[in-house]
Amino acid sequence: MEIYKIFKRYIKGNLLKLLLVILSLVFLNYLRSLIPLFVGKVFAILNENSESTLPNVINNIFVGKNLVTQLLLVAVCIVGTALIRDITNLSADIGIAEVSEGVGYNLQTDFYNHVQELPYSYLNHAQTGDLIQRSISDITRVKRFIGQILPACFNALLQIVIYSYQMLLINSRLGIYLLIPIPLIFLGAVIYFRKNAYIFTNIEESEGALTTDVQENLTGIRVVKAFANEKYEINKFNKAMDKFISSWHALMNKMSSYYSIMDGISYLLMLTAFVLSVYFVKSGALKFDEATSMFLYVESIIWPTRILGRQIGEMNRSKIAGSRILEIVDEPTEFANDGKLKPKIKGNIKFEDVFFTFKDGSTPTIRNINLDINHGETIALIGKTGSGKSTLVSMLNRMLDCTSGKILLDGIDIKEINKKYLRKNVGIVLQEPFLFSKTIAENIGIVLNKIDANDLETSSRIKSVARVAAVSNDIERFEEGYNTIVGERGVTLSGGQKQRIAIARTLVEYKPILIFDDSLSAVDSETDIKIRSALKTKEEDRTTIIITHRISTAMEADRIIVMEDGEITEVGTHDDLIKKPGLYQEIWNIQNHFVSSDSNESEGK
Amino acid sequence: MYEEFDDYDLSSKLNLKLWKKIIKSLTPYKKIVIWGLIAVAVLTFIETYFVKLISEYGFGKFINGESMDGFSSFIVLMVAMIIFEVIFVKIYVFSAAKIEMYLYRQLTGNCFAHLQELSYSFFDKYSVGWLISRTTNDTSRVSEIISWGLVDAISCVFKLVFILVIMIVTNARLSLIMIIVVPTILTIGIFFRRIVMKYSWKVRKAHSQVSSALNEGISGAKTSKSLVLEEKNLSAFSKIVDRYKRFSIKAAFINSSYYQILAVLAAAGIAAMAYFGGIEVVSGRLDYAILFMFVSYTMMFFDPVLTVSRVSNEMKMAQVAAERVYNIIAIEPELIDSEEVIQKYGDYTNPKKENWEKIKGEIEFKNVSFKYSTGPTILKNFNLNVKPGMSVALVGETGAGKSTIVNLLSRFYEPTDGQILIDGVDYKKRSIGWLHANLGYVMQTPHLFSGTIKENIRFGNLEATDEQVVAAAKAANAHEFIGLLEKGYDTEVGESGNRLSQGQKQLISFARAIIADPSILILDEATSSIDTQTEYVIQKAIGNLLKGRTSFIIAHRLSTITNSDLILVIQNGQITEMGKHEELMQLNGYYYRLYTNQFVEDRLKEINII
Repeated sequence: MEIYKIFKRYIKGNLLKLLLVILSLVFLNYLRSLIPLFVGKVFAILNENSESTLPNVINNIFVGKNLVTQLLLVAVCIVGTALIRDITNLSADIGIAEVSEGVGYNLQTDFYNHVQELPYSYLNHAQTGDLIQRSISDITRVKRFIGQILPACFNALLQIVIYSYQMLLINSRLGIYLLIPIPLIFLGAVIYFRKNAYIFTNIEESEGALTTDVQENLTGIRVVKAFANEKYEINKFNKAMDKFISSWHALMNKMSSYYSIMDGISYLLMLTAFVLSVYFVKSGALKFDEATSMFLYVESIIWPTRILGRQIGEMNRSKIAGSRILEIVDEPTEFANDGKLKPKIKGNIKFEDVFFTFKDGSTPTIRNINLDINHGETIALIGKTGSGKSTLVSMLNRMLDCTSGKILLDGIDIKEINKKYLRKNVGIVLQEPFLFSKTIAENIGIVLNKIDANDLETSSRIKSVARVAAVSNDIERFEEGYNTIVGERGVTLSGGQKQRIAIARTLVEYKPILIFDDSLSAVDSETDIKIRSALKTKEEDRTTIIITHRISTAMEADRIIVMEDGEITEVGTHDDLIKKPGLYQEIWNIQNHFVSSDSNESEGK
Repeated sequence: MYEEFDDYDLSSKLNLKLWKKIIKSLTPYKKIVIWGLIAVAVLTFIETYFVKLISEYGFGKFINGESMDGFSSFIVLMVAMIIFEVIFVKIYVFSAAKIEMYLYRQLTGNCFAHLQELSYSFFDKYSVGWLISRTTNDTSRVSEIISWGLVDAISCVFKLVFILVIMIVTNARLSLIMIIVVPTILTIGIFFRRIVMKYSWKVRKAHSQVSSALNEGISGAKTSKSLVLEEKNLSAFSKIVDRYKRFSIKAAFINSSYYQILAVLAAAGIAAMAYFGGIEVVSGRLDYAILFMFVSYTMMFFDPVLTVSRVSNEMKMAQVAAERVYNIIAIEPELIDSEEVIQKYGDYTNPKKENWEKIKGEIEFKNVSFKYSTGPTILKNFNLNVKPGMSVALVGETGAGKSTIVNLLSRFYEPTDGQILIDGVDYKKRSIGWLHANLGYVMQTPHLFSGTIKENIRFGNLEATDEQVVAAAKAANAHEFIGLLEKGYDTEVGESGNRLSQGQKQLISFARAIIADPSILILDEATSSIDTQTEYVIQKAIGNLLKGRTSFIIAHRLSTITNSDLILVIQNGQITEMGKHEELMQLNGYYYRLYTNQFVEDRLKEINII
């Protein structure tokens, strides 16, 4: 069912191809079924028997020709049929590949896009590893099902049906006798694989355990060596290996029985076909040539039956993968409730009775926020961890939506504004930025439309923002400079370097509102000052909100907002706040401790 | 996950030496191999003979002829053959599977055991993913292809020869057709298969690009959101998937054409057999039933030929995989004890603990210099003398040489110049095992193994009793949180300990070091911030951890630093400041700045600002 849903959803654009594939598979199997008839025809010719269950069009060619010509004709027919059959087969194969890859393409790109568009809060709680697992192994499994298992099953089914039809055509009574065991073999295979599904699960689990063991050992090899536990680890590994081998053993025990019994049944059925043929021929109800065709059909109908039974028995595994994919793509995206407006944004922000509660939380994370920020103002946001600072700024670009109250941007409710448009105007530098596996230049210029190293304008733009973010010296020190590849597959950068590249990346396009979510914490205070003063000289009319714990940063802001427990407890300038007892004063005292003792060097501790 | 490490360059030549090695590794399983071969021979015989009997006698005598003499004994014979078939299929599948299993166990086991023996430096050079790919994927590929591939190929060759012999003996003229058709199919098959493999390799590569793009897209989803990169990402991703799609379709096309060409050729064989065989029958030189047998045999030819061409190419893949596995096994550990040392102290599989000296814990670095095999000198003429029981804190920037010093002391690396003396003796004069048995190493990011908490603590001392485990946990301040867990010490920690918090993992790793009771302890403190409560617990635990041992600490905590007996400021591989806390504060240099910054940060942490 899950697979059907996926199939239906992602088949778009491939329906016609699918229809053609189905038709060509039908034709293909019909042509396939003609070969045993031609073989039978050889014996019919030799017996001077002109009857055949071959279609009349073909059979009529042979009428009135001499023996040798007839034989030659059969040979030509066999080659001709095979040629058409194989061309049909080729086009069916290509068709299957196109349909399944088409579905796979739609599925993969949709999944990817869907994950990108999932709400921020969902992504915050989701396990990245699990999502990646689903996107890779589950999709591969579903694709394999659609591209290989399904066509194979369909093909097998067609072969069984068409071969049965030909058998019944030759001799309906004999045909029925010989076809009775087919559904039984099929059912046997299905039941067998259903019943033994646990063995496959077992072997997957024990194999997984073995891989985990190797992985943990190699990742922790330093611990192993430091404790001189190599021998212990080898014993542990051997135990896991034994377990894997024994589940493998169990599987092979079952599989070898399955194969041998199935083989035995195939042979018994052939023998039965032969014995029955003897009696039918003796009683005159069957001719020699018909017996040969019948025998060839029986020989080749068992194989597809076994395949079909096995695949259907194992179908459950793909079903699970399918449901795991649906779980993700059925999750509504954040753009399900998007605004339409795209107003020019100046940067006046107004919070009106804003509350925010996380889906699974009972008490609000943000409470009763009322705040006016004028465009061009620089605001420092300071508070304890977990006091709601990040949540508050996340509402400004609608990563999170306030549960009640209103946030106005230049007087417009931000829920009315198009999300992507909003985010292009509200730049936010995250605390733990992610860099892509690209060059530094590409990372900084990622929002630009074209990144061409030879394009002077963009490259000078990239260099200039790198200077503002105080990371240009670091970059130039790399051997490859701006062409150094970073991210998971590239050079490892320090936390501070990453943050500064992320800042440069945000600065590359003008944003009327700029938010630093504690993104200067991994750089030292001197660099912090450098960046802020560079930003100031670059002063475009910009509203800036800086989440920080550094007094030196906060004191330069136009206003400081102190948050505690989701509420604003203090608002004012540095000079105001240090006079009032409260959190800000407390922080000031701590950070001032050495500032004063710096000037007073006699103090040691 | 590790598919990116699974490239197969198939252009390599046949490596006979390697194959000899592989075949040789099968000697312990001679019996099973022989059973497998017997089964294969019996099965081919039955499969080909069944056709012969049915057509020649069955169709020839009973269907076409008049007499029914011997019909019942014919049936009995056939049934007997079927029974043999059932038995031998079971033996065949079983022995092939057993060879696969044994080979896998042997290869993977050897590879794993060898990796345990290799030096620390080896693991700096190769990524864990790559090594896992070798120890698991490559070994399973080799064993699968060797067992099933070889058995299949042998069975097919048997079958082809068998059928040809029967045909030639029965009618040499007609078998000429087969003698022409079979080599043609085989040549085309093997040639074409190479192209097929090349394309499937391309598809795999394209697939791994899709995987890594997905990986990156998902990991960076939040960043993409904030930068509004969704459309851009999607179009880049679509291109990658589209490339994969095109390759797959092309591969399907090539794969199918290959199959279809062979199928047409096979049909031509059948047609030729029908025509020439028919003429032979007309001219009275051939019996009906024999013609039926020839046609049936011709039809049977197709599959084995396909299999042989498939296996011949798979063998190449196996060769590449086997080469990589054997190459790892052939790598010698960089650091090994000298012959005399092994004689006296034993090696890691067979330590002679009775000869191990008790350790006091005096450490001396004497003119130690060090550089990694590639790269600049990291440590130059480093001198240091540490009395037993002293704690030494190393501070300085990343890359200044702190880790090098402790790695040298742990003998993960050896000095390129100079000596390290432990209790006055050059540590190379004693075994690595001896040193590691007396040395504890607590890493910055604690690494736990799947299993229970108890097992993880006991990793430090495999002979420890449950009471000792609890005592160690108590000393490491871990007992309290363990007690709160539902299953206590029997709680499963999950893969790499992921079910525990970072702080909890750290405490467990302390307990693990305490239970080992080393005379020398190396502690690489974590930098990541932990909540104040845990911080306090950890600080207390560190105190217990260091008690009574000579310790080297790469320190970040002020409490650890100020409590240590000696502080070394390391800059560019040199000691630039050295002494006790008060002395260094007086200098008003690097240490002073470090201390004041850290002090402010700690205070802010205390009130939960960072």
